[in-house]
Amino acid sequence: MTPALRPMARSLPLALPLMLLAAAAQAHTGAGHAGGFVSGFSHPILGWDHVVAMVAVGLWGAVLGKPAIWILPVVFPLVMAFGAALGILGVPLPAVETGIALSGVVLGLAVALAVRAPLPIAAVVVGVFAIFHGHAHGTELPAAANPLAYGVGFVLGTGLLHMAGIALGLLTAKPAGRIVVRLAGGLIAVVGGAFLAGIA
Amino acid sequence: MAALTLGLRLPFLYPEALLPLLVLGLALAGGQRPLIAGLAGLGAGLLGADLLGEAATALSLGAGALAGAVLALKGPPLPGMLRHGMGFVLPALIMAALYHGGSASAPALMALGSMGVLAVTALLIAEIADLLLTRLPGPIPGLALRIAASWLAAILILMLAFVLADPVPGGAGA
Repeated sequence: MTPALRPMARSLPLALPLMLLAAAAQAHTGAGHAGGFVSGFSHPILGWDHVVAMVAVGLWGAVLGKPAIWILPVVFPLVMAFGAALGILGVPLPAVETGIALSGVVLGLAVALAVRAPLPIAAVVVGVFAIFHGHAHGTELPAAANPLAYGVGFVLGTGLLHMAGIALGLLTAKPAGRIVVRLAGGLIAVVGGAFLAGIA
Repeated sequence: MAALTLGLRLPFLYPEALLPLLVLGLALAGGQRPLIAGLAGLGAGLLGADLLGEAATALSLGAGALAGAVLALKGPPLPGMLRHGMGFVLPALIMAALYHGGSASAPALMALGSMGVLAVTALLIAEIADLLLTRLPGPIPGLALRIAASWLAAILILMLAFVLADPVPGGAGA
């Protein structure tokens, strides 16, 4: 074991009971403010198909540079909330799961190949996929969720994933970072492809 | 006195009032405050509350979402006409959402308390946003304000969907 890992190993027995307690607490995600917030917050971040696409949006924004990197976190939550509203209202949308999986492939490839699409086209591509993601969240939400708490949790969860993608995307400022970002895009495309093929 | 206290607290108890109020404060940043339009809106909202009935909740959420989306996409400061329009419509719908079904029977002190606290809160948020925009250098404060408006609008869109999907008392609008 490397010296850097030793403190971690020493604190592991202490952390284990806390981790088990956390798992028990997480099981109670029912009604009420806390249940609504936890439910809303966890929806965007617990599904890998959602996570990779939202991170990819941030990464692509970084590849495109200014102003895309800042416009995307402004536009994406709005469009995604619109998609979620369609889902909550029961408005049908065809091929939602396919659209979500496809978003990982397309956005991942856009990052991997460093596609420098014009901003309006990038916004439309991202917006269309955001509707699919939002719709899935809207149809899957629990009936008893507190609306305000759910909404706050949902938007925060989405926003934080986005910010994570942008933060990773800031690595493009350095040559080695650009390689890392493009590799991450490739990985995202592979994950999206696995969902598209039904093997994930 | 109890009526006044309740009136002061009321806007902070209901998300259909609080969230559009936050959007209104941000929308007024960076320009002249439409005080007359705002006061007229508060009065019109109280008078028209019974006319709008239960629809006032959805209208308040919808107008807040629209205003938030416009602010997020355009960025501060908004053009004067737009600021005046929002300065009238949002206070009117917030007031109507708070007093629908009971504006005629609400004590005057309670309504005055709500009107006062709505006006002061909106102006206070606008002042704080102005301070950030003028004191902090670079594009970050403007972007932060746009992101805040976007996130508020997204929450309002979700809440509006809940209200439209379940418009019964005890549901999202209650």
